[in-house]
Amino acid sequence: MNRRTRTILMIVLSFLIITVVTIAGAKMDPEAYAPAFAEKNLGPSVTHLFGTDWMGRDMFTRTVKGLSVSIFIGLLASIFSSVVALFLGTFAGVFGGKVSAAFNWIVDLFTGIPHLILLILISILLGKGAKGVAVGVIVTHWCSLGRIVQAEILSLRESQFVHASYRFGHSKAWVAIRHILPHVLPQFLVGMVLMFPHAIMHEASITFLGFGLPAEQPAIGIILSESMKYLTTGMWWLAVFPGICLLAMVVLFEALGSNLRLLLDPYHAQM
Amino acid sequence: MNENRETILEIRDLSVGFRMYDRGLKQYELNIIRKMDLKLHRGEFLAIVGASGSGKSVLAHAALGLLPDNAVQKGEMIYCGEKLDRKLRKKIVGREMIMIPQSLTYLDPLMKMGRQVRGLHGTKERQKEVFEKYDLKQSVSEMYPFQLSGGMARRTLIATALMTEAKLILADEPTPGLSGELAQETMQQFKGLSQSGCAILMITHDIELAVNYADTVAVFRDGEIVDVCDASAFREGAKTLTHPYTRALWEALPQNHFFETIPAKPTEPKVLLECRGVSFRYGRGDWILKHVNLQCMQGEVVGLVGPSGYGKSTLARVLAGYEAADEGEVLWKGGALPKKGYHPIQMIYQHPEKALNPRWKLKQSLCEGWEPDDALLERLCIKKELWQERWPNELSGGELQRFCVARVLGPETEFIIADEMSTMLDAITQMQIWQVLLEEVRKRGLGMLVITHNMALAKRLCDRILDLSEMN
Repeated sequence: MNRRTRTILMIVLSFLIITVVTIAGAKMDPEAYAPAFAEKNLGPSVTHLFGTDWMGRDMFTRTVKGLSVSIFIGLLASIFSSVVALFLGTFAGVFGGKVSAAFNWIVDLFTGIPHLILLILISILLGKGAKGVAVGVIVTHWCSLGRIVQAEILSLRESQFVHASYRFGHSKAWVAIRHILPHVLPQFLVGMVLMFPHAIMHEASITFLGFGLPAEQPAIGIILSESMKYLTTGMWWLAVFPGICLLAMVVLFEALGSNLRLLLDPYHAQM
Repeated sequence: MNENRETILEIRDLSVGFRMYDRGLKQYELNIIRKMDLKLHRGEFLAIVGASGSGKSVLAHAALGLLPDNAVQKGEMIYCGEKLDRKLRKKIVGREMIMIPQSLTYLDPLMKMGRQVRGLHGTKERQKEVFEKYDLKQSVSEMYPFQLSGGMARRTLIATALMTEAKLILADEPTPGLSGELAQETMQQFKGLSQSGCAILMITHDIELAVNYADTVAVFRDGEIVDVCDASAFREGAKTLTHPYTRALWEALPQNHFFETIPAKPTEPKVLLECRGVSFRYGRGDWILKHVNLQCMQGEVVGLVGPSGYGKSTLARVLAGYEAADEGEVLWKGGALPKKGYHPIQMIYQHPEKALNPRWKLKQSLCEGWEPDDALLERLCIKKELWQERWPNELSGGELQRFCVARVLGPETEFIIADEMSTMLDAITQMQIWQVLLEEVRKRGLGMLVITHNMALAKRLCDRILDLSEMN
C-alpha cells in the first residue's frame, strides 16, 4: 500500500465517520434524549453507554445530537467564511497595490483582537443563538485563508505563463478562469476543510461560556458547562465522554484537511 | 596516466530513480540515472557535461545523501576504498568531501560570512589564510551574504571548501550567472585546487568551460554517461573525438560549426522598436538602466550582450511593456506600445518550465496564441502525437523550449525578444532551435532582439551587437 492509497483511505474514513455522526444526530428522534426521571444519575452501562444526567437524559444520544449541531454550525460558518476569504483575497490579489494594502490592514485589525472576545461581542450583538454564533465565526475566521488566497494570486499574476497569456491577447477574465483559478482552488479547498475544526471549537467554547446556543439545545458546549455543576458530586461521565467526542471530531477534521493537503500540495504529492 | 593514481571516488553501476504517481494510485519509477560507472582519481578535475534538467545534479545529491524520500538508489559508491554509506558520510562530509554550493541562496542570510565559511570544522586562523589567498578583505567575514558582490560571493563560496583538507570537492553548476571573466576566474581556482591534489567533480552545462579547464570530460545524456574523454581531445578538434554524440555536441557550439546562418534580406530601413533615453529602477532602488537608446529595424537581428547584473533582462521587460520606464520612452513603429489584443512583440524566456502553465497539457499551451501548422512543429522536432498529450513536468527543458518557440511565431508576431533563450539547453538543442527560429525570422522579415551572455552565439546570429555595459 503506497502513501497515496493510505491518504485516500484516511480521507474516506474520516469523511464517513463525520457524515454518519452528522446525519444520525440530525435525524434523531427527540424522544431519545428526552428526560426520564426514573433513570437519572446513572453511570455508564450497556443500556446507557455514556450514562444519564440529573434529568435522566441519555448522554450518548445527547452527545451525538450535540456534535451534529456543532458540525452543522461549523460547516455552515466555515463555508461562508471561506467564501468571504476567497472573495476578499481575490479582490486584493487582482487589484494589488493600495487595495492589497487596505486588505492587509483589515486582516491585521481582525487578527489583532483575540478571537474569542470578538466572537462573544458579535454573538451578543446579534442576540446570541445559532445566528449569533454562526455570524461570529464567519466574520472572524476568514483572515488567514484570505491571506493565502491573496498571496497565491499575487505570485501567479507575476508568473511568466500569465504574462505570456496576456501577450496572446487573452482578456483578464479569461486568464483568471483558465490560469489562476485552477491554481488557487486546491489551496482554497484545503484551507476550508482545515477551518472546520476551528469553527467547531469556537462554537463549543462560546456556548460553554453562555454566549452561544440556548440552554435547551443539546449542544456540546451546553453539555460541558452543565456537567461542571455535577462534577463535584462525582458524576465524571457527564464531562469526560462528551469532551472526548468533541476532541475526536476535531482530530478527524484535522486529519481530513492535512491528508487532503498531502494529496494536493506539489511538495508532498510524490511521496 | 590516471591508472597509477589513487582512486578517490568510484561509482559502480549507479541507478537513481524517483517513485512518481501516475494519474491514479499507481506508482511508476522515473529513472534519472541509469547504470552509471565513473572513476575519479586524486588530483583529477572531472567535468560532467549535460543539458540542464537532465538530472546531473542528482548525482551530486546521491553522493552527499541529499536525495528526497521518494528516491530509489541502486548500485554503489566507493570513497577511497570504503563503501560510501550514511556512517562514512557522517565522518567525511564537510571535512574530506565538500560541496560548493551553486549560489548565495544556499547560505543563511542572517549569518555573518566568517562563521558560514568556517562551518563546523574550520578555524579562524585557517579562514584568515584562505581569505588572504583569495584576495578577500578580512572585513568580509563580518559581512552578511547580501552585502557581497557577485565576484566576492563566488570566492567566499570556494573558500568554504578550503577550511579543511578536502580530498573531494563536488561543484554543482558553479558558473551560471557569472560573467565570462568571473567564470574563468572560478575555473582557475578549481584548477589550482586540483593541482594541489584535490579531486574535483564539477557538474555543468557549459561544455566550453569544461573543455578549457577540466582534465577529463564526461558527457551525460538521458541518464547515462555516453562518453568519457580527455579534455585535450576536444581542443585538438572534432576529428579526435571518437563518440558520435560528443562530436555532434562539440560541432554544435556557436564557435565551431553551428549552422549556416542566413544573412538579412536587404530592405528599406524601417524602425520597429525604439527606446529613447530610457532610465529605470525598481521602486526607489539604484538605477538599473540610465539613458539607454536602442533602435531595432525591421528584418534585423540585434544582439544585446553584457555581464549579468547590468539589466539586460530589465531592458527586455521595459521594451516589452511589462515595466514602465521612469524616464524616456519606448516606441513601437513611432507610437505607443499596443496594450490590447495579440501583442506584435512576443517573448521567449530563459526557463520554459516557468513560461508554461504546469496544470495545462502541452497541446493547450501550444495553441494558446495561434494554431501552429504541422510543418513548423516538424521542423522544431516536436513529436506531435507523443508530446502534445503530456504535461510540462514530463518533458525536459529542451523539449519544452521548442513549444515556447512554436507558440510565439503566430502570424501577427512582428518582433521577438529572446531573453537567454538557450542558456539552459545543451549545444545540440540550442543549435536546432536557433536554426528554425532564425529561418522563420528571416523568411518573414521579423525583427528580433537576442539577449545573451554568450558572445560567440551573438556573433553567429546577429546583424548588430550592442553591449549594455557600454550603453548604460
